[in-house]
Amino acid sequence: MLTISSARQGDFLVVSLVGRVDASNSKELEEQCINFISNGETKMILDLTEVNYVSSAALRVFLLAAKRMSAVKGTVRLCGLSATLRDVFDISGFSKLFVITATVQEALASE
Amino acid sequence: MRLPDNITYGTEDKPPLSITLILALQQMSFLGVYLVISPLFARKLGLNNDQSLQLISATLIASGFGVVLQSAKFFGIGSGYFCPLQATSSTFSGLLLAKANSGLDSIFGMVAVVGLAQMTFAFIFQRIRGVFTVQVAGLAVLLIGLGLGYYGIKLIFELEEGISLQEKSLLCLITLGTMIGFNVWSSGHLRLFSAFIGLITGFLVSLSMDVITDADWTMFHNAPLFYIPKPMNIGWSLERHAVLPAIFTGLFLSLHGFGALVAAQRFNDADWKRPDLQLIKQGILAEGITNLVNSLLNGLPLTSSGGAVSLAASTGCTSRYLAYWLAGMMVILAFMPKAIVLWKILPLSVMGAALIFLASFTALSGLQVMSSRLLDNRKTLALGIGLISGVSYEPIMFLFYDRSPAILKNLLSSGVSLGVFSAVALLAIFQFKSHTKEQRSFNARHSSIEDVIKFLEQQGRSWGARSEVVKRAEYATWQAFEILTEHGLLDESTDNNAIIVLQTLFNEHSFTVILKYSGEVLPIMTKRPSPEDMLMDDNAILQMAGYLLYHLADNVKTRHDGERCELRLLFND
Repeated sequence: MLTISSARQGDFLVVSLVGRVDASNSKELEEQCINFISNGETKMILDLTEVNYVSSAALRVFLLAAKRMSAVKGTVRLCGLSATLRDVFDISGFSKLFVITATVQEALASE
Repeated sequence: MRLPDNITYGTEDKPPLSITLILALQQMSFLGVYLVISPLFARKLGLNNDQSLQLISATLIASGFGVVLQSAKFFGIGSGYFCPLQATSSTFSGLLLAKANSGLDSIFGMVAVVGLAQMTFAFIFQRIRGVFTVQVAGLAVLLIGLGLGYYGIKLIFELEEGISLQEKSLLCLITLGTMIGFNVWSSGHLRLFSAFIGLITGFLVSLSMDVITDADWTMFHNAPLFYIPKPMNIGWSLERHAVLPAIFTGLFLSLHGFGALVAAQRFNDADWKRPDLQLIKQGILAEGITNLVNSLLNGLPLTSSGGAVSLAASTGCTSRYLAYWLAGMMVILAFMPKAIVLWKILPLSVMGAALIFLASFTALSGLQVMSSRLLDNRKTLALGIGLISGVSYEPIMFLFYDRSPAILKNLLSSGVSLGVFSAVALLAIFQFKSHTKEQRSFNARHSSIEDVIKFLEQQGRSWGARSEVVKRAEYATWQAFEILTEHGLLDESTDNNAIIVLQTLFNEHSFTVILKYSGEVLPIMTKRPSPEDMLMDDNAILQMAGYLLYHLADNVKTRHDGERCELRLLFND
């Protein structure tokens, strides 16, 4: 079960995810992200504070969103990862591909 | 082993000589308060002046021997930690019983049996590691802290001749305030000496307030400057009546030593996970041997001092090299009765303040250890009842002390021993019908992650695992479920085939999750797919999942036997 909601904060679109991101809903997240980028968003923060599980299929979606964003010279930042989620990002090497912060405020402030 | 941030000099560090000397003096100034126990007991036994001096000196020499034996770790004896030894009034009831049954000489024969009993319990504790769990270790440390704090409060508010309650409170505030001030707001050497500076300040203020009575000063002036102790000066005999109380005293001291040694381990390792029972065995063995020597010297039974361990940790120096200098000071003091009297005239509220300072560090450390683990009902009840008995040992003792058999009185005289004994006994009883192996079947089409998580958390609580380890196990297991179902590795041709059997096994060091299913073996990858592969190749998602599993679990094994496959994920605690 995944709930996706978004809100604007300054130049950034903060996309809040609640639940788990796995193979069953990663397609839905992928479509949402593509829609945001197609609608002209170039600065996006994915808030994972309420996410308790991210599978390998979901990691691909994050990567895809980052690649699409990079094509329009935009940026995707991640924040609010739990310790286990952080482990998964470290193991997969994804923590080197993204700017990851503890909170939305830090993500907004980071260069 | 990673040194905690608040420790400046760890077990193996060698501080500069000048610092070591002051730190040893700081330890001596704290442990000196237990010197008061020896004359107190000497009075209870009705010893003459020479015998009383012998008892104090012998106890000090044995303490010096013990702290070296404990720290040096020779031939598998000693824990290797800085863990000084102290006498405790909780052993008095057993010793008095021995005297009443078999005379004064038998007390020291009994001390030898106490030592032998400790050595035996050292081996037994290691064998029954199933009940000497991390949580019991945390309980022991917590109870040592609470006991120190309770004793400190009692010393502050107990009526004392020649000093009013207001003066006692003021002395306590100044002593405690000085310790806190130097510990919290200073750094470097001043923080290392914070307890000693507080004690000296308290002593100087008590001099300026003129609260040390004339009788105290007379006692100081009358005390001889030198005294030469002689082995077996008071006497030595082994009587059969003394054996049973000695065994119970040995059990009580071993439980107390267990708590102090766990505290020493915990304070020295930021990543501490569980008690090292091998080192605890060596530590209790050192205590036992010390008491054998102590018996010949005619001293009081000794056990590891939780307070001294806490002092070392709270001031940031747990170096074992401190032990040699402390031992030297103890031996010198053993020959100087006049110096020992200084501790007898120190106002109780000054020492009470020091105990509260130390108790805070110890109690919270024990609480952290206990709360770092998941608890099921068995553990909650065993530890809860242990904690309640330990905290309430005084009312329990008040009610049952006179009515209980003499050999049990030791257990009732200490919160640590009563609490740990209750918890260990209950955990042993609760082993009945406690399974370390569970199995449940999940239908891959209808089960949710919540079902799997609920089952694994239940097993984690039974195991007493750290929550982060269980979280990792849940994560990896669900990742495995997802790969099996989403990538067609699970044979779902019939409802029966879509079943994944989840089995959990645990022992004290690890938690194993085994998935049994029909279909193909899950590929475990040791090489991470590149970001480009992840975008271009659908198979890379499966490879990444296999790679995540390989790293989330501490050990992964797959097996294929006909149509049945097995994935075994092992997680170390």
